[in-house]
Amino acid sequence: MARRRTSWQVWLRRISQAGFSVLFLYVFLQAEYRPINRTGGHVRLFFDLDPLVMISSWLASHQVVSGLLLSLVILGLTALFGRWFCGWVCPFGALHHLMTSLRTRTAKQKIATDGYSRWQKTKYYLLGAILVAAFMGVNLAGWFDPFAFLYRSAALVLYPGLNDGIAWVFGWIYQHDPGIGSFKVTSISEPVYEFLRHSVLPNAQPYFYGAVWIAVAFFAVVLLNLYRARFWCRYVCPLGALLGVAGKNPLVQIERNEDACNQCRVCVVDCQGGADPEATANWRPAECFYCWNCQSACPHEALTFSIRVPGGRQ
Amino acid sequence: MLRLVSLFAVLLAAGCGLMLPLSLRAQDLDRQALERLVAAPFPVDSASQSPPVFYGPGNLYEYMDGGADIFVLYGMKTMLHLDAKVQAVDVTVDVFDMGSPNAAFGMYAAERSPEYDFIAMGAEGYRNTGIINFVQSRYYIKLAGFGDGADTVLGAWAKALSARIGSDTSLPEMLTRLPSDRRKPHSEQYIPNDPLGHAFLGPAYVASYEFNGHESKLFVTLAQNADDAQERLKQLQAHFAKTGECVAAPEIEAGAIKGKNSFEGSFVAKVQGNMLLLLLNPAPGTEQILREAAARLH
Amino acid sequence: MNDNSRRDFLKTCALIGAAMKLGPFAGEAALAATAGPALSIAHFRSSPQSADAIAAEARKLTQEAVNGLGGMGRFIGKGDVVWIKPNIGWNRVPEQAATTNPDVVATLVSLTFQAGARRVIVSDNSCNPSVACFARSGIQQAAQKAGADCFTMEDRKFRKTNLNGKALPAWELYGDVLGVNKFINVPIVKHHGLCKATLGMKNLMGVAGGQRNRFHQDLTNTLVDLATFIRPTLVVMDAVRVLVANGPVGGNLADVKRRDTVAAGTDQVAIDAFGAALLGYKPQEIGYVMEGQARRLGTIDFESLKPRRIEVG
Repeated sequence: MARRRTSWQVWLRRISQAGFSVLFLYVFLQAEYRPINRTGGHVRLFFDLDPLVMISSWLASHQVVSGLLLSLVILGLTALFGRWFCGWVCPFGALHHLMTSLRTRTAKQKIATDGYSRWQKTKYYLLGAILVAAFMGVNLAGWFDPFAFLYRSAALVLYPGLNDGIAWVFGWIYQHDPGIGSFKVTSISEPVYEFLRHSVLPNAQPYFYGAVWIAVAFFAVVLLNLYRARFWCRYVCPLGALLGVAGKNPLVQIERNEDACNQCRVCVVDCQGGADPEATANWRPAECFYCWNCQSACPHEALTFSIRVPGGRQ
Repeated sequence: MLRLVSLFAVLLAAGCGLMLPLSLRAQDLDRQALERLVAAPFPVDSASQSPPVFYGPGNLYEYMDGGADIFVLYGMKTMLHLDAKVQAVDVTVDVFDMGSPNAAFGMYAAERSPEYDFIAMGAEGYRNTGIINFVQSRYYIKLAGFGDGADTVLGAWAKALSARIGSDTSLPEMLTRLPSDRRKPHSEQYIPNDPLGHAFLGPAYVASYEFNGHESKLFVTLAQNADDAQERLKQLQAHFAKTGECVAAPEIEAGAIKGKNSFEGSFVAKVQGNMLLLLLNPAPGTEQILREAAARLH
Repeated sequence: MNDNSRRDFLKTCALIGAAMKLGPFAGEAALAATAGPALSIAHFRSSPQSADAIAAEARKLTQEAVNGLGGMGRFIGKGDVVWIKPNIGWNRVPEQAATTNPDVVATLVSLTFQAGARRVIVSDNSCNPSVACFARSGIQQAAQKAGADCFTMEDRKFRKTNLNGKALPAWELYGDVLGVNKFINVPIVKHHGLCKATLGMKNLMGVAGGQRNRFHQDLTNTLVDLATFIRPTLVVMDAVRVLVANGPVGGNLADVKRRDTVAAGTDQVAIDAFGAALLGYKPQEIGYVMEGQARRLGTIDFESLKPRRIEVG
C-alpha cells in the first residue's frame, strides 16, 4: 500500500483545530486581572457556544442566560451536518487528537484496538447522569464539560506550572549570574524574561487548593490517549455524547465507492472517533468527528463525505 | 452485562464527581459561613475578579503586613478578602470573623474615632470617601471602593452584607449598661489585652466622659469572679503605690481606692461583683460616674 | 561598616559570583567632601485644596527641599544608576496618604536625571498585591512619565545578603538594589499601629523579601540593621499629607491631615525624628529612632543640625 499525500481536507481540519486552540489560549490569557487595562470577558465565548452548559443550566434553574442561545446554533449545525465540532473546533479534542497521533503503534495494532467499542456508550450514560443531576440541582456538568475541564486544568495547573518553571529557570540564571569574561548571560536572559512577563506570563500568580487533584485528573485523561485513541472524546465526553445524540442522522454522510474498495481496512487505522468507516451501511455518524483521516488514508480513494438529501438513495 | 458495567462505572464517576468537591472544600465551618456571606449573586451585579481569598492569624500579614498585628491581637479567627468590580468601580471586600461580638466591636472601635461620619449600618458603622466600615454580630466588615460612583456601590454592598449576616444589629449588651450621662458618643471601646499596658485590666470596656471640657475615662474590667476582681484591684493599687500614690477612698465606698501618678494621671477605682471599675482622670465631683456604673452594671 | 566586616561581606558576595556594587550607598567620606546642610525642610505657606494645586505644591516643595541641601548634583553624579524607593506598599490612592505622593516621586526622578544619572529605577516590595498598588498609588504612571523604570518586584530576584546585624545576620534583599550606585529613600510620614510611626528607616523594609512578619519580633533592631546596611545617599520625606491614625494601611480620609512639608536630609535618625514630631511624637517614643542614635547612625536632635528652613508659596 503506497503512502498517499494527506488530503487537503485533513490539512484544513488541522488548521481549524490549531486556530481554535490558539483562540482558546488567547482568550485564556486575556482573562487575567489587570487593573489598568481591563479585558477578559471573551473567555465566555467558548462556554456560550456549549450546548451542554445551556441544557444543564436550564434544567437546574429553568432559565437560560441569553448568551447561551449561541449554543443552539452549534446543536442545530450538528443535527444537520454531524459532529464536526469535535473534529474541527473543540480545543480539548484537538489536544487529545495530538496525543493520539504521538502514539507509536503499527497499523495492525491500531486496527485491533481503535475500532468501535461498545464502551463508547459510557459517555451517553454519563450524559444522562449529568442531566438528571442537573434537574435535581447538582452541577456535575462543570466537572465533565470539556471546556470547563480544559480551562480549569490550564488555569490551576498548567499556567502556574509553566510560570513557575520559567521563573525558576530565569531565577537560577539571575542568582548564579554565569558569564564568560565581561559577558553575562543575564544581559540576554533578563530582557527575554521581561518580554515574557509583559506578554504571556501572569503578573501575580495565585495558587489554588486542590490543584494537585486537577493535575492528576488532567494528566490521566491526556495519557489515556496512549491506551485508546481519543479516549476522552470516545468514552467520557458528555458534550460529545450530546452532539452524538443530536448528530445521529446528519445530512453529511460517508460515501464509499464499492467498486474501488477492497476491504483493506486502512481507513480504520487512523479513525479518530471509532465510527466504523469501513462499514458504510453500519457507519456510526454519532461517533464520527468528520476528521477526514479515513478519506485521506484510503489508498484507492474510495471514501468521501457528501451531502445526502433525506429520503434519497442510501 | 456490558451495559450494567457501564452504568456502574458512570455512577461511580458521578459519585467521585460529587465527593471530590466535598473533600476539597474547606472543612472549616467559619470559612463556610464567610463564604455564604460573600457568595454570588453580588450586590448591584458586581462581578468578582478572582475567587475569594481566606486569611488566618498566621498569614494575615501576607495581605496587610504591619497592619495585621492588631487584628491578630484582637483575636481574629479568619478573614475573607474579595475583589469585585461593577462598571467603573473596583470594590475591595474584607470581612473579618473576629470570633465573638465583643472582639468584633473591639476591633471596630480600635479603628474608630469619635469625629467620623457615622451611619446606621449593622450595629454601627461609618463612612468616608471610598470606604465603609461597620460591625455586626461577630463580623467586622471593611469595604473600600475606587472609581466614579464608588460610594453608592459600597452602600449597596454594606446593606446586602448586613442583611445576610442577620437581623440582629445590637451592640454588645454591656455597652448599653455603661453610664450614658455625659458620655462622649462613639468613644466606647473593648480592649481584650493590656488596657493602658496592664494585663490585670484586661479585658475591659472603656468609655470617655466629658465634664466642661475635662475628659475622663471609665474602664470596666471583667474578672473571672469576685475574688479575681479583688485581686486585680490589689494589683492596681500596687502599681500606683509604686509609681505614684494610692490611698483608700471610703467616701466613695468601703474598699474603693484613689491615687495618681505622673504619666497616667489620677484615678478612682472600686470593685463591683466580678468587675473592676476604674475611672481615670475624674473631674472633681464626678466620682458619681463610678457609682452610676456600679448601679447599672449590677 | 569597618574594614573587617566589609572584607567578609565582599567575600560572601564573591561566592555568589557577581561583582556587585555594594552598600553603603553613601560613604561618609564621599558626603563629607561635599559641603552642605544635613537637613532641609520646605514648608508651604498655604494648604490648597484642588488636586492640581496640591500637585504643584508637592513638586515645588520637593525641589526646594533638595535645593536646600545644595541641589541633587551634590548626591548624584554623571552616569549613576539610582534607585528611588518610595512607599508603594498599599492599594490606596494618594489622597489616603498610605503611599508616597506621586508628584514628589516624579520630581525626584526628574532632578536625578538632570543631575546626570544614566538610569533611574523606582520600585518597592508592596505589602498589598503589587500590581494594584503600583497603579492605584499613581506612582507607576508618574515615575514612568518622568522617564524612570518602574516595575513590580519579582520573587526570584531576592538574594540572601549578609547584613551582620544585631537582629538580622542575613536576609533576602532585592538583587537589583544591590547593583545600583545610589539609593534615595522617599518615605511618607504615617502613624503605625505597631511601632507608633513609619518613617524613613521603616520604609527600607521595602527592599527586603522573605517572611517579613518575622521583623516584628524585634522591629527596633531589625530596622536599624537595615538602615545601617543600606545607608541611603539621601532621604526625602513626604509630609504633604500625613496619616495620623490607623496606619500603616489607612483608608479613611478623616485620618489624613495636611502638613504641607517636604524634608530632605542625609541623617536618617534626624529626619525620622523630625517626621515623628509632625505626628506629635517625641523621638523617645519610637524605638528604632532611639536605637539608630544609639548605634551612631545619626542624632535625634535634628535642630542641632541647623536645618535649612524654606517657606514656599
